[in-house]
Amino acid sequence: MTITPPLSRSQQTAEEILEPTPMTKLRRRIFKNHSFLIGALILLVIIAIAVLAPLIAPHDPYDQDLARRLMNPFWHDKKTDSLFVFGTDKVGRDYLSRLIYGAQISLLIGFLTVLISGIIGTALGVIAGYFGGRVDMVVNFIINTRLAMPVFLVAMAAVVAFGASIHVVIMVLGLFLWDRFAVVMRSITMQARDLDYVTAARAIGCSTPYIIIREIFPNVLSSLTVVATVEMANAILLEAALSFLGFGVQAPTPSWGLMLNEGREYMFFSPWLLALPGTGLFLLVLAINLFGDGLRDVTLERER
Amino acid sequence: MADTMIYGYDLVKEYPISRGMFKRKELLRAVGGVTLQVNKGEVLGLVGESGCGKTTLARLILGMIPPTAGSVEIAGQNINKLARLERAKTIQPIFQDPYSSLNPSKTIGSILTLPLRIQRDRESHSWEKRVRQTMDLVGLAQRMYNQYPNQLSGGQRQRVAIARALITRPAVVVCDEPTSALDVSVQSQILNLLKELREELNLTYVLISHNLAVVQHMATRVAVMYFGHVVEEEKTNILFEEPKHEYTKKLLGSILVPDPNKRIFNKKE
Repeated sequence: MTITPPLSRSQQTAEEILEPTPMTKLRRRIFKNHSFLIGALILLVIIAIAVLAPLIAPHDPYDQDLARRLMNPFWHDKKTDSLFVFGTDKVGRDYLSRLIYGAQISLLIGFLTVLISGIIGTALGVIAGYFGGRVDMVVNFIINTRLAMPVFLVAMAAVVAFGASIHVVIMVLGLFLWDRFAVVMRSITMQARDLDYVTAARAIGCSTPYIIIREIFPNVLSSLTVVATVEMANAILLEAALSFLGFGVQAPTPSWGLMLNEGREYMFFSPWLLALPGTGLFLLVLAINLFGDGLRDVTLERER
Repeated sequence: MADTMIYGYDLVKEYPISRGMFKRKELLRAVGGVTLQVNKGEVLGLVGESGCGKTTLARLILGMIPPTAGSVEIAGQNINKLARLERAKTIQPIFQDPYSSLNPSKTIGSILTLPLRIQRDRESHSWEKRVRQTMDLVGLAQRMYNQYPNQLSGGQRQRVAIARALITRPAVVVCDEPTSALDVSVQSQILNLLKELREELNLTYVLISHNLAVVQHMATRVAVMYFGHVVEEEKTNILFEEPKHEYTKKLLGSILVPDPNKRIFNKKE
């Protein structure tokens, strides 16, 4: 080894030495990004509430007592009870406990739907984007077929066929919300496929599955998480809508959408029956969207 | 020194271009019947204008795309019949753009270890040592082992790309415009490094460039390509002194000399 390296260690420029590591940079960007922080905070609180529901819920959400039906929440003067902070619903169940357990349902449906649709959509999109040509045409046809089918009609048909339950809702939404994953993953993979590092990996002798999973996938992961948050918010709203119409989660399960439906007839006399689950949905979806937006800003900057 | 390292025989590569859904596909002839031979230790410079088939020819030599007709033999073996890992050990590319040739989500260390891992190199305990040795060889500081590509400059990235190509000790390296994405001051460093490495490791290069000064500096022989054909092939000094083909003369005439008193090469007085 007679070659002298043109850049010896003593010749490092000051700039190079002071260059912060990617982790430090990432941390700095996170703390500068307020929407990410606010979204993450609200989301964490809701997740904590959902996970700890059995511990923090003051009553059994299914416990009915017609003698204490439609109690007012604490900010009213009359007909309140310090044991039922947010009052009770039309069959006397504690509204706070039902709200707490409702967070569980919403998050469960959001996560599982995104998991199922994410796997389907990412697999289809990455394969179409990487191989292109005929494969791409076939996948595009499948995507178009899916887009031609209205989620609501299919969900209603599925409920008629299989009966309404949380499993049916998750399956229908999971099998239906993958289109955005597929479209986004397809275009990103297409861009990544033509970059030199993929060609280099092929020249090194990497197999095609290795290239897709180990070389391309880590670089599309940040876009994937952004799509996942958008779709999760979407799935939660769709579940609420389906449950509101009676095609989703069935009574007496405490779903926020179902609670909106049940409170509908008392809208003028007990508006909080609608306002409380509505606020819950609003906060959750807002938090997820803020979080997803912030996540995009925080992570996408890292790549070039 | 007369061992044939690369032998490309009558190489043709055609691409079908779609002209519309119901029209017949047209064929674009990117490389139209190129025969070339490169001996061990030689540097073959490939020059020609953009779109003349240089890069396609390089990809054919690398075995990344199958030729429409003809064959490429590297050290006596048909490149398209070699197993993936064998081919990777024989011939490696160095790309033009060091900003896209390194995976942004991996550290320099893991980028350089990848060829060894893919080759299922048995002595996994020596991987890091060999990576670090190769980093020394190409002039990369050891602290870069744990850094990401976006923390490195263009020249440093190109050194990483060179190290990645050399770590499995291939016999042939195909450099596709290895310096055109770099600053002028860094270009000469990289070229000298490639030159030194050739002597050190007894490499054979195919060097693609449209920068004729680079080719003159590096190549032992030059092949001039024009519309998918090699129109002239000659030893570097001979070609630059007395070009025979009309296109070569034009190409050499296009060199701009940074001297206001000198007339452009070959221009009629």
